[in-house]
Amino acid sequence: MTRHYSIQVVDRALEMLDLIASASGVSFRSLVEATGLSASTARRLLRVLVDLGVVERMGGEPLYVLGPRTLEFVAGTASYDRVLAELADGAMNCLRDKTEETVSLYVREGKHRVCVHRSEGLGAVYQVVEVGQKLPLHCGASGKVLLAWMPDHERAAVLPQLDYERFSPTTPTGPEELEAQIVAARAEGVAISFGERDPDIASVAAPVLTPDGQCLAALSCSGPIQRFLGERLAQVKRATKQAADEISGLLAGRREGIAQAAGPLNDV
Amino acid sequence: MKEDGTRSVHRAFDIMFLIAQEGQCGVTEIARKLEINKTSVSKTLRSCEDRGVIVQEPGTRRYQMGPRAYAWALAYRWQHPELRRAEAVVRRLRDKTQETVSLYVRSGLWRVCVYREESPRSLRRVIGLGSRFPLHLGAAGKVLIAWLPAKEQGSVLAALENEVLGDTPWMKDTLSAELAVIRKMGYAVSSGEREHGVTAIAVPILVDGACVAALSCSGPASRIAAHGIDQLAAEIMATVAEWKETVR
Repeated sequence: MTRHYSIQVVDRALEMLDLIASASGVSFRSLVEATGLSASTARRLLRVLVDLGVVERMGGEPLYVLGPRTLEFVAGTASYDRVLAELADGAMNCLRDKTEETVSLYVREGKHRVCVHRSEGLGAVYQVVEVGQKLPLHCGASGKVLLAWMPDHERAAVLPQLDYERFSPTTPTGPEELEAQIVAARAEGVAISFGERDPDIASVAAPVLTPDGQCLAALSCSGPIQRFLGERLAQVKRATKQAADEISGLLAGRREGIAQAAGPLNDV
Repeated sequence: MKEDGTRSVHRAFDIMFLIAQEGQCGVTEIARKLEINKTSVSKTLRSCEDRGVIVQEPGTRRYQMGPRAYAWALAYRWQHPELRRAEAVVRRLRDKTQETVSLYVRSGLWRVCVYREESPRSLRRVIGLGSRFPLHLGAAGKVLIAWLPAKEQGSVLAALENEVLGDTPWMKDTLSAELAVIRKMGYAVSSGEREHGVTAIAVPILVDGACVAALSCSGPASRIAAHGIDQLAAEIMATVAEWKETVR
């Protein structure tokens, strides 16, 4: 077999792109500091990335962000939701194997949440959520996560507009009740629902966050209510949070701990 | 970094774009298609693999895009909140017109599709995320040029003349005249300019007076004509104006 050496200048270019992808705008100075390159090498390298269209300058300061040609890397993928689903797939299957429950990924669309990916539960009784299904935002663990990690002013605008349709005795009835649950979810890092949309189903959800703290999606684990009690509920919460953090880590380019061990639930 | 360093980086991106376009590629195939020797290809792939930008499929030993590439595409979206906000008006217009509606931004002398919602009809315009077209062809490209600040517009037109329109110098004058009309009307129309049988109507998405993207509504020429081009353009502009009120 031939020996494969990497190419140093390519390594550096990719490192630079990775740094730019991991914040909401990086200054030239912090790029130089983070890469340890000389200012002239960094400038020339950045120039190539800008010429290629994978990096662009923003604002007067100036800050560097990714350019539109980075989308060519996912050419053929139908939508951002599909890209996110591809990225989350491994961690979702792992969480499903651990809990044996249905694992779903939701994004917000206006006053609704939409399921963009799903790993079906392993048990004989599992909750079926269809990909593409639109559900209300005011109930269910993932709805609460999407609300809880939304910018405050947006949430303030959205909360009074929801219809608060009553599905069960535990469905939140109005903005005050929901706001209280949102505060609790933020404090704990996960949201929980006991039968808020379907009286027999419980769910636990945690946020998928960008490096600058925007919530892209809610990862939820759901199943029959009687399996979400006591110590097992605590385990499912930890496992769900861990899986969501792992997906956030992929977004940020964190490489340590990417391969989560597919152990049993009580190892979490 | 020397001249050959720049070349290595360009080559690395050529390889990544090729893999993205093909879905999966082997080393020999990449070397042949890009006319690069296999050793260079392998070395470049190694760098990309180390970063998780591409991964090797264990069974076939072929390469495909990896998790870092997906994360980069998503990062482009969350780093551009003004485009993300505009996705709502794209969805609204697709629902209203039942035609494919997309957002384009300029990248050098190209325009790149950064978001789109497809028409639900079986005969429809299909555009992929990240698709790239020459800037001077089609309604969206013209909108992007028309709303550039004067100085930038001058250099883009000069570059187009040098690099693209060289054989057809009259096109620059035609284009300049057309851009003036487009700015006055507030929208651009193109019919079969880039693709035969396709008509597109495009308008600028303006944020604080700057054009951050072109929104284009496109479909089969006959169907767009049946809407009535003027009526459709008016509807698009009204919907965009309405949406702007909500994002203030």
